Amino acid sequence: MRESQFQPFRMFQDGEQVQRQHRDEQRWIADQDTMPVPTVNGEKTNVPSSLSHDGTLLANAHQLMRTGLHRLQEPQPEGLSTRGLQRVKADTGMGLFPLLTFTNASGLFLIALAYYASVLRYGTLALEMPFLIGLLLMFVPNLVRLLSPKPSRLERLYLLCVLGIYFYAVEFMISPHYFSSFDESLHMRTLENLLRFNHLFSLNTMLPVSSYYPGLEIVTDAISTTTGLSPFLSGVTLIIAARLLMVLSLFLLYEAITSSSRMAGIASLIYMINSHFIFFDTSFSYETLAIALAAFLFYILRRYQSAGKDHYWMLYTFWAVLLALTLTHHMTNYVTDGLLLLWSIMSIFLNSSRSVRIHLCITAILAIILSFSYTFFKGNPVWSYLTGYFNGAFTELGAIISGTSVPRPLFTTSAGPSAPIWDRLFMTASVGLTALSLPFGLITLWHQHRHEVLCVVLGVFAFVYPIVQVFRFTVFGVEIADRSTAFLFLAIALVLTLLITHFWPSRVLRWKSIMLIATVLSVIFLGDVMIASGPFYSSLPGPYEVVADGRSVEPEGIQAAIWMLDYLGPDNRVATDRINQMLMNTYGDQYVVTSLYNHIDVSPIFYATQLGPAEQTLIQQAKIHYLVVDLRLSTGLPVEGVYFEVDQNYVAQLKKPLPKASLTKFNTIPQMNRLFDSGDIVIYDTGVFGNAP
Amino acid sequence: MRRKNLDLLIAIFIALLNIAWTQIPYHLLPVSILLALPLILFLPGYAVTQILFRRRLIGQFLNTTSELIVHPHLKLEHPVGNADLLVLSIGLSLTIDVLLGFGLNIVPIGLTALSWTVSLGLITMICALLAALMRRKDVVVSGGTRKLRPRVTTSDMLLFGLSIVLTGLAIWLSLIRPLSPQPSFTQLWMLPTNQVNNNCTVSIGVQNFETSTLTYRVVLKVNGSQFETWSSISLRPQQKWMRSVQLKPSTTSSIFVEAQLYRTDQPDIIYRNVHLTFHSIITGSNGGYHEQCTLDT
Repeated sequence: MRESQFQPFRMFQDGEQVQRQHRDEQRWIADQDTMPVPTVNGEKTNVPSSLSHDGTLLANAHQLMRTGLHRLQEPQPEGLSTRGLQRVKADTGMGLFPLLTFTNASGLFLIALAYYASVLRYGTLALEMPFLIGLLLMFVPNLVRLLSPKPSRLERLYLLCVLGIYFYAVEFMISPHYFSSFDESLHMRTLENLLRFNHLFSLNTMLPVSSYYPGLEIVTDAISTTTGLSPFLSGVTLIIAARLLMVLSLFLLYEAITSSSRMAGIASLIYMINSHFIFFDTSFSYETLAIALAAFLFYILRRYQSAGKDHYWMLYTFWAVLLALTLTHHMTNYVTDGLLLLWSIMSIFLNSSRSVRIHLCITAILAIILSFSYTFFKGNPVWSYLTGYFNGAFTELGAIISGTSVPRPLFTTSAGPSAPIWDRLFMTASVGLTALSLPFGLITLWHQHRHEVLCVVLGVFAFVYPIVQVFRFTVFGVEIADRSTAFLFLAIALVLTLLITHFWPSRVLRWKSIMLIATVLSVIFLGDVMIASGPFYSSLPGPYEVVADGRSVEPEGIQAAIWMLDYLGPDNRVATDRINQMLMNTYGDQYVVTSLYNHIDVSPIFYATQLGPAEQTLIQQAKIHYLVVDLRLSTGLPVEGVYFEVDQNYVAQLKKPLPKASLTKFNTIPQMNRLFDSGDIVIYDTGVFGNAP
Repeated sequence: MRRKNLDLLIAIFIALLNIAWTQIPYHLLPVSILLALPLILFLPGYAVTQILFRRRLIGQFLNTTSELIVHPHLKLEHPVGNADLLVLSIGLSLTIDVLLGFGLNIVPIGLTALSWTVSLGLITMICALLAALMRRKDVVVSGGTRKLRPRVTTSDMLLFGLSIVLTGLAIWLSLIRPLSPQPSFTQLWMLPTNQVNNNCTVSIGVQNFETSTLTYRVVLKVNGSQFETWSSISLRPQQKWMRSVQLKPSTTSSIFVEAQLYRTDQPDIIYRNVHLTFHSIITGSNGGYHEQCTLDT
């Protein structure tokens, strides 16, 4: 009975035969797009939708579960218009797009006020409340509209593109004059080198790998040199273009998978709630461009898979984009390779045409060969860069599992008290709700979409999300859990969309259901924002904090770096703390001695209470010409957990601020020349110790 | 013909304008932006898309199938709808930029405004001409289809206007947001000048980054003795003061030079302090003797 009632859902029912069938059927199809498929077939639906009023709690729970499972197996939750199978009114209006643009703008204005209040030291609450409300003002109305079957495809596209840009504006307003985050400053140096020498592969000691993956810097260089815009504004322009590419590619990819503009809209919006969409993936960093290219890549390949043998050009285009991606960001490239490999393996076992199978396998092998070739390209340091990090993370995780090390306490930092209880609840609920929703979405996926190979691939990929959360208990590997969300949400967005649209098909979607969906997704969204905005919202504007990346970048440090470039010239070997490293690297064009490139940890020079023979030898070995000392390090604990690039040997000492005597000891060394003093920042010439080249 | 290829002609025209614009010595920023951004972010990808994924007219599609079922964006044989065209144009343009950047790196001129404009312009023009060539057999269907244009009402315009105002206000607020902490510092520095001649000369500089005009006093000491004083140095915010001082020969082998900065409103507190240690060497040449100073480097 069920077999005949629920016809298998064909992804693209747009052949001539199907169209003719729909044309015949349209005589008795009601003129609305919310008609359930059983009704189309002339049969009654048996999907239960209400609870028993006279049963026990157990019976109610049982019925609820049965209802849920029935709904999850809904073969076609979408109406005809959102699937592009019904004619829509030709002269359409703009729908609610103008109104929702206004709510977006209102949310952004509220956030601007929050930033302003934060700088004027009205406290964290004055920042947190309007900031979160502003975000909700952008997110919730768009979500409600996209859940509805009414908007046209064009309106959905408009809404998503505009929301994507407004979300970028949230990040842009944090630092509207210059790139202030740590990662951005690293890439700025690569860009400055490119603008200075007009050639690639110049040295960046703070992120040597960036010189070998310069896709972002190449396009920014093109914009900056041809338009005359500053490197900062050129970077902003590129980020906006990448953001548009990302949103459009996601929408078209999900639309190709689900055959529904409504589901594509919801999936794209769910992708936007991942913790990196607002912050990290809008920063001037190689992942920002690479992840947009990756989404574009999957869109092309999915289109190629549908288009078949007559569209070889799509495959060639795919290879070109793959090459560009390989040259833009290592991790995005490796994740893409992994997904391609999974896709090709799945296509062997699942229903797909022979030519598609062959081309997928060839493409996956080609992608892997390309990645390996470039990884081991002469001089490319990416292998040691990544293996060093992953080895550390897995070793620490292994130690925690074996009981030889204690897990990192969650929600705490070395710099101050732990996060407030409501923040903790939101962050926990965000991860918990996402992980708990996945199995239900996967049930739907398996029942109704397992013939769609890419859908299954993404379903398998979504399983990684709960697994990587264990890294949150490590100090070294917590970034794996954070950074993987940008990739994992490509899959999670689809799985959650399947769950939502099958559990609440558009024909049974009522206000209560919409409110429930909006509440759950808002909790996930806010929790992810709290995770991404750092301890005590330190990545948002506010008063100066010790080693808090963006909050520690201020005029005195920038001017010191500019002074050094003006009066001492570029490329002097400099040792300093984490913040002044990035300033000296970016604004000062100096050669910053790092453990990443030089394999020398300079922190003992600053930690030691006296400049003894060991420290003098270290200065000599590292050929340090100048020391840049920031006396503010002694005023608080570092928000980022470390004062210097590596503080490994001094973790025990990070219970209290660095003693001021450790920072002022250089004044008493007669061989050291104190060249510069701006109050908080002092620059020393190391003199005979430096043995400068 | 012209109408059929209007888009391609515009692309070629913009590419040519860009190349011509690079030859003009004086560049107006807004014009440069208007010309260059499409060339970098859109046109190369658009031209390539026109070759690789030629769009069939929707009118042809409508004539062969039911008018009740309209789904051009899901039609497999029509991969290029408007959204597809936009995403392919941006995505392929960025791809071309990245790959071209590696190509330009090989040539001696490297990645400059000229090399970018010429190479992107050439790619756009060649692809546009190829696309035009491929389109030559296409027939323009006139009046067969009506373009769907969103209807914008007065209330829509009002809401858009308010949105623009609010967005502008938000950006403006972030631009004028006070810096935290407020810049309130003064730089003092002292450097040996012209170390090639080793002639014991130092350069002293002060720059005011406080929020208001301040008056300073600078005291220069050599081996603990006051050597020179500059009083009543009044500097506006951002203003700089610099002096070069020739030191007298010393009887000792090392010269400890110290500069102290005082604010006139706090005359007894050393506000900033820098110091250098020179080594004095007396050398003889051509029967004469002169003193050389070197830093400890």
